[in-house]
Amino acid sequence: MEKNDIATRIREVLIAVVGHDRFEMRDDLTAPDVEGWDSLTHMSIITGIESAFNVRFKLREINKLRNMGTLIELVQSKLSA
Amino acid sequence: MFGEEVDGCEFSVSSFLIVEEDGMPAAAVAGWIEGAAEDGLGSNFLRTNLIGYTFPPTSMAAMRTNGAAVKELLLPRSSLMLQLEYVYTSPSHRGKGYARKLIGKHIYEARTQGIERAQVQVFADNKPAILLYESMGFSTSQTAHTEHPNALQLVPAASKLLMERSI
Repeated sequence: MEKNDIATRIREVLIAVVGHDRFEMRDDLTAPDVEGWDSLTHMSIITGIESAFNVRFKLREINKLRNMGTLIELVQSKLSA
Repeated sequence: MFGEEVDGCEFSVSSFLIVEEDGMPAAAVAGWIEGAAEDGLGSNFLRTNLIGYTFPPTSMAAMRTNGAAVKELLLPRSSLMLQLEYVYTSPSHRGKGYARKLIGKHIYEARTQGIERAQVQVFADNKPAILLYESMGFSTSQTAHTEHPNALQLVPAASKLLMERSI
């Protein structure tokens, strides 16, 4: 799956969880940049992404995520595994 | 304890110092350096990730619901400061100075790593703990308060203090 397609689907998950689209999908996007993406909604976003792509992350993998770019790379690596 | 372990938050096994008497735990204190583990990820996210990967989805749903009721009590943990949590002494071992010794040990270990300040959060009704922290040089730097009607069903007090000291 192309990076743009992954980003589009992740964006849909994010909007569904935080309830708005007031953010720009950039590689350097981080949780504090998105209103409503806090430690409480974080796991909903992660599990939403797992469901959307039918993948399962490891705890170590999500602890290593630094920004949207690394999240997209992680999804990409799971899909191509 | 969990399927996967992580360092750097109050649920990390590696955070705990424990006093044992006759092979049984008598007191425990968690302590970690905020943002020092996992390339700087905050303990709040580490904790949530750990819960999310350990407990069923219903637990996360309950956490989100309950979280709304106590959100105003969240106090920020400063990066690269020693964080102390879950200070506990079993009732039959209270008054022996175990909590003080364990906190002192955490402070000593943090100091050897070049850490300069320590923080601890405590509910405003926990007078024995506040007195202990004050006697160890901690003072209140911030207070959080909630008026949420369900808060007291979840936590012991509607106010929480952030106490700090240099180490």
